[in-house]
Amino acid sequence: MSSVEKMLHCTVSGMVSELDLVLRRINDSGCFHIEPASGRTAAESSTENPYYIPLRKLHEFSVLTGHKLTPDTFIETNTEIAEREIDAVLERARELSEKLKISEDQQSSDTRFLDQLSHITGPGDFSANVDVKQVLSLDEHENIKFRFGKMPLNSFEKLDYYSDKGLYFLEYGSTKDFKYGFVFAATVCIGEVDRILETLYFERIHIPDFIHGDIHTAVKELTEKVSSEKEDVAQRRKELEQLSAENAEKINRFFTYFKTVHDIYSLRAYAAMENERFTVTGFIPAAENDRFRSLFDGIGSVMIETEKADGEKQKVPVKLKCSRFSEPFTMFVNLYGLPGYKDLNPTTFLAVTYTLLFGIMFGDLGQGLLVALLGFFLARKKNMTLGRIMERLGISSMIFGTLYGSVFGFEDLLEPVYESLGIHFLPFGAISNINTVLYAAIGIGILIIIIAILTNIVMGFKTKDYERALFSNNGIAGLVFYSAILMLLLGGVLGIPTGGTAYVLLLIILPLVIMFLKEPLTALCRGEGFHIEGKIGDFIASSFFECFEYVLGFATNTLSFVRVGGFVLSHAGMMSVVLALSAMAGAGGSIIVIILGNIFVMALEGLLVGIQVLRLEYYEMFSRYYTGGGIPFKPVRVNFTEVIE
Amino acid sequence: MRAETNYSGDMAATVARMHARYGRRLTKENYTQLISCTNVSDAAAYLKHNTSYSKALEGVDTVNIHRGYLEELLRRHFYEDYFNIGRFEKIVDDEFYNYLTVKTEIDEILICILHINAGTDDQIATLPIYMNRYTCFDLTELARMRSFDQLLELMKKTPYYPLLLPYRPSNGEPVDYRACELRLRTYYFRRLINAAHDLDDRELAEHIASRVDVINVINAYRLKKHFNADREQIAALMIPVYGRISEKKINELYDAADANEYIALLSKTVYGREAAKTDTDLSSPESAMTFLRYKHIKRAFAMAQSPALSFFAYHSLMEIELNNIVRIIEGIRYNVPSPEIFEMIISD
Repeated sequence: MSSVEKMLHCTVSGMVSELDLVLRRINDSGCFHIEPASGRTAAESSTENPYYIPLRKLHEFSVLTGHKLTPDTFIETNTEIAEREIDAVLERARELSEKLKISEDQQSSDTRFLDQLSHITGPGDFSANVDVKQVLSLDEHENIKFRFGKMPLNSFEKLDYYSDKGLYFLEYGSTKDFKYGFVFAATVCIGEVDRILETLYFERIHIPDFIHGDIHTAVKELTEKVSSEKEDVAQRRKELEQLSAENAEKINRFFTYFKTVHDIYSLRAYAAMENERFTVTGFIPAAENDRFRSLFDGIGSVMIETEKADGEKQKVPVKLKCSRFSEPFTMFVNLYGLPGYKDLNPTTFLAVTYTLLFGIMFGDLGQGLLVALLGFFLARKKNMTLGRIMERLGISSMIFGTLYGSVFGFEDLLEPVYESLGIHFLPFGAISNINTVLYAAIGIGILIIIIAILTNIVMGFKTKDYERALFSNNGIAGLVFYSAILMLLLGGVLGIPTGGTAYVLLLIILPLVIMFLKEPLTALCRGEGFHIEGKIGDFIASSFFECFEYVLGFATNTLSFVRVGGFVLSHAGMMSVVLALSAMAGAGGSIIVIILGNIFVMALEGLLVGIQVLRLEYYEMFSRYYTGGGIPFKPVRVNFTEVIE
Repeated sequence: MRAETNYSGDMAATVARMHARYGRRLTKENYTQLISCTNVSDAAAYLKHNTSYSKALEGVDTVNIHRGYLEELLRRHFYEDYFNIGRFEKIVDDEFYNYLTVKTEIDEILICILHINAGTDDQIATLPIYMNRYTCFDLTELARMRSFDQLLELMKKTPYYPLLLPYRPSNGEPVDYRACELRLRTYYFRRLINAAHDLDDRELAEHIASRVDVINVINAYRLKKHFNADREQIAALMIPVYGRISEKKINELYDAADANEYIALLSKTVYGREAAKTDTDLSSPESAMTFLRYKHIKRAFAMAQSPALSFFAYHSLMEIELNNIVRIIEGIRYNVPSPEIFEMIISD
């Protein structure tokens, strides 16, 4: 088990006139975990962050032009000149954006109308000869009125009902849901017809003035208009892109400057004020103490005081200290919850056991190599932590694959190699040694559980938690009980006489009684006397079920590791199916089946094994010695990913 | 106990499909976002682009959509889902499974009677014409009926004829709508409960009967609150089917001196106990009873052992969702404040 980084509680104080400079140095240090200030802060005496407005303008520019604001090298900048330049480019962006919006609206409206008009293909030659203007002029007719539009099919079915109401529907086209056409009615009936049309959800389409000639010509003209509008929209977008490209460097530079000074200014909320002095408190890693102090050399009034962080009195942030090998596995620890400042860091134990168990369960030289290569790619190209974990798992898989003699499912490829080396006990064929595999899996499980209990005992003593160290199921009592039961079973299997009344009484019954009485025993250790809180009946019932659960837990947790062996066998089994299928596919398809089968097994089993091992880590190991609950060490730094809050 | 049915694989695939479809139901977040829409077009666009109703609104231009048309599309979608299952399992005409068709027939007959009494002729506007192929009479013809005699003539070969015949009015008298409604609704629920018993599905029969409980409890409360009606007056208007509240208990409710005593007595029934368990405010029995029924039917859907109960529960839940959407759209259309719309919908 590794530990967590030692922290120092740090207080930086100085004259208010130097506050901005100090905050900038704190930000630059990259190692200061800032704490909220108590009392009046510098933020209360100052106005709104003066850098918010330019930052908001940069954000607006980014939204309008699609420019991605990217941090660059920080360069001191004249704020006034920079703001003027931002205003100028933003004004231009707004102009172009407004023009783009007008063009888009026009295109959208005409496209919609074109869609409606294009349904008026009508019955045969008639529609070809319909002059839109002529039809429009019909509306001026003294005795006849018409309505052009679309009607839902469901309503169309109801039209027959109104056959005596003096309306006539001339269908021109239809879609899956609508009928398009003209509704004609005598002028005297048009009021009632309009009411009927409303109940039928008839949607009237008003033909715009710019439409001339027959329907087909009108559609053609409108299509050309829409096409020209599309070009116009594209041109407007291009202008915006051009504006963004021309100013990209400048905008990014301003963004870097304003975001940095904005975020540093925001830190004023953490500076407590008293008279003309300020105080900023936080935590720094002990290893960074000298470097941190050196950053403030030359700032006359600044005083830095540090003291050892106290895990019991303070909420000390946790920075995990890991080796290069185990560092990516912090991802899994973070997922569960960081350890407390005084707790042990489980990352190394998790990294080692995770890598080993994965290798055992997914042992294949060829597939392991691919997993490692994929991990290498993801880590280097996509900067994914999971990729770095996969590199380690792949290598472990390759090592165990070599021991098993498995290469892409071929279990005999390595046999000649071992023969030539004179190693006769390898390769270790999983399928032919099923019992050994399963016993070994349980053996590994027992070992891991015992290590987890021992860790818990150490932690219990370290934190003076005697219930945890001595009387709990994961303390000495539990360890003695578990070991005694295991020895008893082992003796039975091997035929070695174990047991006897004294053995059972001292190593099995006594630890059980201790676990049963852990609550009053703990009280006794604390000097509070041997007493039970609450009713005796409740205590007996709850303790009885707790003990029952402990005993059951030991059995199920141990057997849970059988899955390790199960996956060894399932891998060999699944690959033998792939090989059998490839043999059935014949010469042509054989190689394809092998490739596809390997991909399938890798994806399915790789994922399953990954999840199962994580389950073992969390449920069978972490639950015995690890509580989590620590707060992460987050040094202050400019947050370039969030432009404005 | 699992009910025995004749359907292939006990409709296992269909039940799974219903669960999958229910999994795509509107969430609280969906409802919140829908309620936050400022007009019907936005609400339609939201439903079209963010929910499982996208298919129902596929070819619709949401910009100018009429509220009534949107509701009609959603309602039609609900019935299409119902008929798709029915056609797939070949149970469209089954005594139990066609219950929504029967319900529509009864609803439309009652609407027709209202139009006959009022002398209006626009039933056609809201007529679910897409159901015409399943109903036992022509819906368009129904909309043409202008007198009770014409209606009886149209119903001649349907089961509704003997039910309606006793209510033929004397010359010039309006039709006794309440009596017709009570007769038809009683027929509907008794028929449905009998069909459930034929399927040997007691649990389903209980759920149907509890639906009647909700209707009776709410209607009786309204009569008590607004008209201070006595036991005889109330009992005469209630559907004589009893679910989780026995006849004796429900008569005690009708006997209450006033609305407050009614609520106090209701709190001592099985619904009252459930309301206490789920922190449901019983002071407004309308919303409380509807909510309790929602919880009850939701639990039934999750635990259902028979395909018929799954089918009934699923469509009940979907209908609740449909009604929620309709209420929201109406609320948006008539500028009802968001919190008030929230109170009108039934969800977790």
